[in-house]
Amino acid sequence: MPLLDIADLSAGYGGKTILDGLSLTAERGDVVSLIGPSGSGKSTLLRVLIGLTPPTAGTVRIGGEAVDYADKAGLKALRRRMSIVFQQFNLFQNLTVLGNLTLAPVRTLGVAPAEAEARARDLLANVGLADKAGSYPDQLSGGQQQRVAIARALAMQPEILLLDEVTSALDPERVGEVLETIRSLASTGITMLLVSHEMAFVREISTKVVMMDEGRVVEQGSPAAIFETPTQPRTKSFMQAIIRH
Amino acid sequence: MSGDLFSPETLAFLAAALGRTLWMTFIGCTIGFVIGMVLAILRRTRAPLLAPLRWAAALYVETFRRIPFLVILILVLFSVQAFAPDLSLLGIATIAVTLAATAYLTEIVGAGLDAVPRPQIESAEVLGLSWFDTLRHVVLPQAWSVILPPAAAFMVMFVKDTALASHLGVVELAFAGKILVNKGFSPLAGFGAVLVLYALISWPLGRIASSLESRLAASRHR
Amino acid sequence: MMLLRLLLAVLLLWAAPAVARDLDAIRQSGVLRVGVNPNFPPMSSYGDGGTLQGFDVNVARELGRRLGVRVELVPTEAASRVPFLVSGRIDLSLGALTITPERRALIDFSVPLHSEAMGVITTSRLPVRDWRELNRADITLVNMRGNQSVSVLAEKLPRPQRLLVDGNADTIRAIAQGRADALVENVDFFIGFTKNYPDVRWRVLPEPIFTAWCGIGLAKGNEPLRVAVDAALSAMHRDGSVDRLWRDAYGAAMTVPVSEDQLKRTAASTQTGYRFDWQPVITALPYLAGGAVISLQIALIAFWAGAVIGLAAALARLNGSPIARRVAGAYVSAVTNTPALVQIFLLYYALPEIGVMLPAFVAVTLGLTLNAGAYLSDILRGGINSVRQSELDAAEVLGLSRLDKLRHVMLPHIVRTVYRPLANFFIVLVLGSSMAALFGVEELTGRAINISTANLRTIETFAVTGLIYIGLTLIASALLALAGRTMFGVRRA
Ligand SMILES: Nc1ncnc2c1ncn2[C@@H]1O[C@H](COP(=O)(O)OP(=O)(O)OP(=O)(O)O)[C@@H](O)[C@H]1O
Ligand SMILES: [Mg+2]
Repeated sequence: MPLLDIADLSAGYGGKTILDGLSLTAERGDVVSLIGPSGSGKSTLLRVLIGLTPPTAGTVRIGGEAVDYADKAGLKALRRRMSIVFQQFNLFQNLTVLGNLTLAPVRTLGVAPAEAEARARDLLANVGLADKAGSYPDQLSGGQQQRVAIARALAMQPEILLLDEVTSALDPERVGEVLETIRSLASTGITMLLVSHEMAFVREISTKVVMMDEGRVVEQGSPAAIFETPTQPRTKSFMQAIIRH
Repeated sequence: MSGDLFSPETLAFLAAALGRTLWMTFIGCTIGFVIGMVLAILRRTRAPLLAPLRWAAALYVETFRRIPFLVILILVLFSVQAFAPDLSLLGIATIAVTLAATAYLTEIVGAGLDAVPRPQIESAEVLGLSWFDTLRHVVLPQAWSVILPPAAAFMVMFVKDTALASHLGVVELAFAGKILVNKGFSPLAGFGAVLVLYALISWPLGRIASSLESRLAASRHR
Repeated sequence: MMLLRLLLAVLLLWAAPAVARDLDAIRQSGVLRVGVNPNFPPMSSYGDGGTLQGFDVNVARELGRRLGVRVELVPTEAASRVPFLVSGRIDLSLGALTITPERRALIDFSVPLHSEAMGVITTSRLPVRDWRELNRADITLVNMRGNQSVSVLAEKLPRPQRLLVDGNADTIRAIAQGRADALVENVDFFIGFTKNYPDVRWRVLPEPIFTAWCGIGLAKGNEPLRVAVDAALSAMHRDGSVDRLWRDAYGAAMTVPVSEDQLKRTAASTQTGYRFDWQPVITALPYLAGGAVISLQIALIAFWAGAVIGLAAALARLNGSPIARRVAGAYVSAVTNTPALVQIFLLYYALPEIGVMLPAFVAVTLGLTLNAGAYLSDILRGGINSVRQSELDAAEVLGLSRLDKLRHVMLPHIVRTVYRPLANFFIVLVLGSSMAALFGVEELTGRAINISTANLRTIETFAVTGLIYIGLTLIASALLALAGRTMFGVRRA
């Protein structure tokens, strides 16, 4: 049974359909990369999965259990199993790095503050920022902030981590440090669903690559299959456009 | 008593009047700020159950921002008679200040809450934080620096508006000027002295309010 | 908008427990609360020691002595006397409370305390010998708002123009400064203020126009208290105490004394409590609407004149010579750091000292204009500053002329930035124009004060007035938003 099972999922904004009956699965430990042209609905898919944009049709199952997005308790349960990192980090500006990492575990998981802090320090050490615990987000570089954001998501101990173009807002020389963090994460066995334009990276770490267009899955398969022997014309043209680029 | 504007009696009289002016402003605006905060937050809730309250809060704000402060003062004077006939005129004027300040401060606080970027709230949401935790740990701390400068500026503004309480007979600064003139001081001396006192209060307070603005703008956190 | 009415109704429902205290309650507390006017020498006013003194004060003390209670004096403005009695804030009201049918509907009266012989105070400027000669349109009579004399005058002397002021002292000042020619009032009360203007040749016309009677006001249905006050007051008349206190205060006997007949009075009605009566204010709606038009006029004049001054000040502060910068900056901070009300006090009351006498409407509109100029200069300066240098550079590179740059790059941007603050400020001016009421201008609030002091239906009158302001500003906001959208492409917030 797949850990994440998305079936016929549809969603949109104000009557406009963005996701159009999309289906997708991920096994535990999978690293699934979503690729596709701008506006194809990749970010929307992640927002729907985490419950920020309500689905209009379809089901999402985690470990066989259907998620009830209309229900507060359902959302709460969902967000204990799944976490997300945004392109723009979105760290809480009023809190220190440590505060960012401990707030939710203490307030929503009921973890004791001392324990939450110890775990937060471990996580910071893992992303190479042990010395920044007392800093405020605006005192950090973009790459550092993004690594804190990843640590904050991990502090919730999710089974599934969603990452939306986490390197797009960074200076080129900062991209590497964040990719390195994700790479080491992948080796821990956490299930990840990531959107990225770093094709070499996608190819390297993904267990599965999903090509999206106009709110649907066009084609999916192993990195080698999608990058080297795509079957769909849309995938082919997308690959060519990237290579020419 | 006419003659010396700087006699100890006159100065003490003016100081007491100035005290009443500041009292009305400070107490009224402070209570108004607290209520305004509640109303602004209330207006940004989504629960269907609270819809009538949201509606009432909006109506309150709209109403009291469209009635002259003088008319509010008169209405409060005569309606408060009904249930608190022992309340002093100063107390009545303070209620009027509170009612008006609440309406304006609700808008100021609301603008501050709206200034917190949407993604900050979404981040709190996806971390599973409750509505109240989000408000307390994320929204308010960030809105604070946006709210305080205009709220302080508003309070400084209102020092001057309380002059209208002279119409009720509250012996605040403007009424003190009237009394001095009725006692035989020339209008230029009596009202001039009062005008200078207002400026002496308002100018430094205004300075403090705007330095608050630049200080808070400098650091986004804390 | 019904909410306001609802709100007031709720407030008044709460009111139920707050009623006037009866004689037993007063005796038990040992304190009699007496309302006196704080600004009405020699009836009552603050003495040098800050305590109230005068005829009314002495009468109150004597009454208290005879009733065996201590007297607590409560400063009460003329317009508040009746509401304070009704609510029980005060037990008795002094302060030349004329006995009228309108007041009798709301409160009870004791036997008369003193007469009120209405005569004419004028100056040597006005060559008349008899009050009947005053009935000419080129004469301005000054009146104190809320006094009985207003309606008597409308009947006996309909022709002259009238100027309404709020305080006793203001009436005499108005004549001294030449804003009005004569005062028709109780001469005894007002003549004392003429001492403030020794340079003016004051005259009193000999024959009184009319004699009214003033009693001590009490809440309705408080029979035992009224009987006790009547007994004490009648005794004070009969043993000459009232006459003595009057002479102490006025230096002469009452022009028309209270007669023995008047001391034998009939009982009053016993109805109690406050009932809403919207009829008087609804009848006065056209009158209030006319006031709203004047309010709008004041706001419009102040806005446009202020815009001109504001633009000049903004340009001076941005591009002017160092001196122009300083002058404009000083103007803005002087005006924005002081209350408009006190500025207008100065324009209205102090300018005549140097020979510049502005009518009330002009003084208020000028004051608001000066304020508008200062605040609008801030808004406009912000708008001009908001034009980004990068856009100007782009225009420069494209080779646009100075005029084209102004018309196509700067102005549209400035208009879009300042339009909404300007529109909001116009609303502020509409509300601010209510200050004019305090100078006797009969705009919306002034007219509301006029009718509420006549019909004594203050809450009803001002609730309706508030609704008119709300309607007025809602319409203005809607029209301004529409104009902004269609003419300047200003989008909603
Ligand atoms: N809040 C919103 N309201 C309305 N439309 C939206 C909103 N967010 C996104 N859209 C629209 O939904 C469509 C899909 O957007 P989405 O962000 O999911 O695409 P994406 O695949 O993530 O693109 P990109 O690679 O550029 O990030 C786009 O046409 C976008 O304009
Ligand atoms: Mg996206």
